[in-house]
Amino acid sequence: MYFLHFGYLHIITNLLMLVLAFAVFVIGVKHKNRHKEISHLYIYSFASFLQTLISTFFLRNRFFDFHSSQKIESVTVNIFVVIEFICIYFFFIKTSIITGVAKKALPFFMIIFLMVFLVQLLTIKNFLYNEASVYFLESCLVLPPCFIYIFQLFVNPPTLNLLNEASFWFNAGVLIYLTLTLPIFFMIDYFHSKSLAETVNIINYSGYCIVFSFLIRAYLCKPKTATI
Amino acid sequence: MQTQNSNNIILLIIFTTAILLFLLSFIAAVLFLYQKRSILYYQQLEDAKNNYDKNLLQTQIEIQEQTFQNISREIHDNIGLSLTLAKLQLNIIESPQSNKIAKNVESSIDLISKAIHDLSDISKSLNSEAIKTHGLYNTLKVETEKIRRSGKYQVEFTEEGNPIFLDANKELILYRIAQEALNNIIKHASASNICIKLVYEKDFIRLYIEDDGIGFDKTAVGQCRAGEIHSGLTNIRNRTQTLNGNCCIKTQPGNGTSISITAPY
Repeated sequence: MYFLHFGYLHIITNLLMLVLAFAVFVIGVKHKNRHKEISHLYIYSFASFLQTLISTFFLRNRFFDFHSSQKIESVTVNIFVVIEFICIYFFFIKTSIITGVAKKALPFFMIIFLMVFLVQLLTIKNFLYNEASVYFLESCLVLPPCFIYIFQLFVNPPTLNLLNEASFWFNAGVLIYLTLTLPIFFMIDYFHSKSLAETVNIINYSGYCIVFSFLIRAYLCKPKTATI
Repeated sequence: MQTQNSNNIILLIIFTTAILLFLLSFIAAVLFLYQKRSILYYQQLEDAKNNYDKNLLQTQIEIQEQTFQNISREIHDNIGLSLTLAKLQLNIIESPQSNKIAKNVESSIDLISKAIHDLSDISKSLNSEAIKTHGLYNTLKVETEKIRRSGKYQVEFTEEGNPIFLDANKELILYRIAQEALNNIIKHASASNICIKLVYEKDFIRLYIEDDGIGFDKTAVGQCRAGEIHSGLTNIRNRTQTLNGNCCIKTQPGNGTSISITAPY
């Protein structure tokens, strides 16, 4: 059962995610003006890169005790989740695929999330020790627009070339990642052993690798030419 | 405890892999279905555009036919009548005393007679009633006779296969195509021999018009500025399109021109 010792796999996925996040940041800055709807997402990848770097540094550093490391990780994750949520919601607000009532409801859900986050911030205990609840709420609020996006694709006239549609690739990446991790974060309280927690981390990092790979594909889509 | 932990990890991995595979298949299915829908959508759009173009062309032809009909009626009822009256009045002039005046009157009567005859020909060729009454073959025969009468061309008109009565509108369009082609030959080809063939095949009719004139450069015609040949050829192609037919033009400078129109019954 050597393969179940996830130490190496954990480090590899962690490193791969860091590399991909940085690659998205570089490509995103370079192609910032290519696609309007994903122009801001390099901030998201950079935030992810920083958060992972900080968490990894504090958790692996022996100068900090376990509780301090946990607190720092929890705080960085909570802040990152807020940045992630705002970035993804801005993407949905900017994309022209989602229209009508769904589009109008997006700012409303964004406010709900921020208010819940504020409550978390006020009840400091949650903010310092519990990142899963914010994460769970984020997934619940982001997944519906992802599915609405897919639904709207089939409602609107099929005039797009999806393989070259930047917004489709990012939406697909987020959809895969959140659907993959939502059930795991839902059950996270039942995972007590270290190896199970590491497995969850590996899945989480792999999910982010998928998001960032898709985001790179999105940034590399050819810009649309204006048609009369 | 350790074994249960390992089992949980294996279950978690299986569960995650299954979801991942399902999601990847879902995204692939979305892509596939969307592309399929997109192809169908553009096909429908293309069909609608073709239908629209065809209807537009049909309307243009109908308007043109209506205009021809009006001009034909005007020539016959007004100009023709006026000229006939003028000829009649010249005929009833009492014998003038001067020989010169008498000659002038006689010459005027001849000129008016020719004008009446020419206008009658134009009126008949513009009138679509003739083709409805006499059919494509007979009307084309009259048309070729007119050209032969001019004495400038040797015209051969033949019919092959078992004649089939076409829809009057189709016959009219084929007749207009032949007129346009003959008009081009007279105006631009400097030909001396013209061959017109009407072939009735099993499923389609073929109209074949050939001349031994100077021909033309097809690529140059495409670039000429609103040239008459260009507009004539475009008319032929457009009319063939309304018949769901096929137009093939073979020509080379110095080697004459042949136009072959095939249209389903």
